[in-house]
Amino acid sequence: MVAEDRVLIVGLKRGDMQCFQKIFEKYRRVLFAYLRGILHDDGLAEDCVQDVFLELARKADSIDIKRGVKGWLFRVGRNRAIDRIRKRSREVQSETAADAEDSGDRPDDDLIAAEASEGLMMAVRSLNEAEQDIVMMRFFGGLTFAEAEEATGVPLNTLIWRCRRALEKLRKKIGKLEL
Amino acid sequence: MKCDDVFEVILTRGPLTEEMAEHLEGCEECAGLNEAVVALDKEGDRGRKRDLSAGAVDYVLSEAARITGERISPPHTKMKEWWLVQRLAAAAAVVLAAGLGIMLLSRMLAPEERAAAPVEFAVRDTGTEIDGLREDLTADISGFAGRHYANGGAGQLYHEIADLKSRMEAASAGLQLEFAGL
Repeated sequence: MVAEDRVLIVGLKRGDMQCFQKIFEKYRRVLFAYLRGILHDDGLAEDCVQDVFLELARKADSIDIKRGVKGWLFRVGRNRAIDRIRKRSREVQSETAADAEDSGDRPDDDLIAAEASEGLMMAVRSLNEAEQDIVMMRFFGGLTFAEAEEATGVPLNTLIWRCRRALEKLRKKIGKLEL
Repeated sequence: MKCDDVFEVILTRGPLTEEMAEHLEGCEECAGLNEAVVALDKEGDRGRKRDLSAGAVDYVLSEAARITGERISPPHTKMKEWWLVQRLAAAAAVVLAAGLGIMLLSRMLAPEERAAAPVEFAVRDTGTEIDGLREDLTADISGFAGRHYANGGAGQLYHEIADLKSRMEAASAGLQLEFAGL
């Protein structure tokens, strides 16, 4: 962990708002990028980022100085995002059931549409949740594998293996999309 | 050179050695993985440039300031402190009032006055009794002067004077007792 973060956490525990501001300034964009990646919704991602940083203000005392704040932020953000995804999937399921006859969407249609501008992102979204998670943390959140291990609780080697498998899948899709 | 070694360097964004670079050019799989990593890096860089809306930033900062304030000095602690202050103030007021009362009483009742007060009351009581006796005596003497004693009137006069004498003795004894009690 960066030494600066330790100083900021100590200040935050004491109630120094300047330390909070610095942490917020330093990590809000990477967390926003990661959460946008796994939620696929800017509004929800923004809500999650707000929740995470307010949780930080509330529970600053419980943060372990040795472990750092970045992993904590991503762990809380990830949990919040999972809650939102579950909630949304329940809502979508009920809506889908009601509109089943009108729906003409097919997964392949998404990929075809993605070829225009969001090809890579659509390819990432075609990965399973665990693979998406590590790809988003690694490439959008800018976390090291060690930080990702702390944030997810998944062993380091498993994360590396998942990331490699995800990249292999993406390589094939990127080849098809000619990005 | 193994693909795994190159992949590890690609994934950790480490510097590629010449040998690795040669491998990358010749290995379709590693080149494809590298291409995926580069594409994701670019997308990630672009994604990290986006910020929250100004409203969201302001909201987080203002709410965090409020929450931090409450965390550092919780409302219930403030309440406890306030009650403690109130109790201390009440106790101080009682002590102050008691002190003032004692001081005022001391001033109203000087030591010599306090010492003299019981005597004054005793004298006043006894004086009232003596006054009563004097009036009785005056009335009796006036009565003696205007009364006609016949057929042994001297005996009656003797009894009246004896009665008067005993009452004066009783008053005197009472006066002595009261002064002795002081």
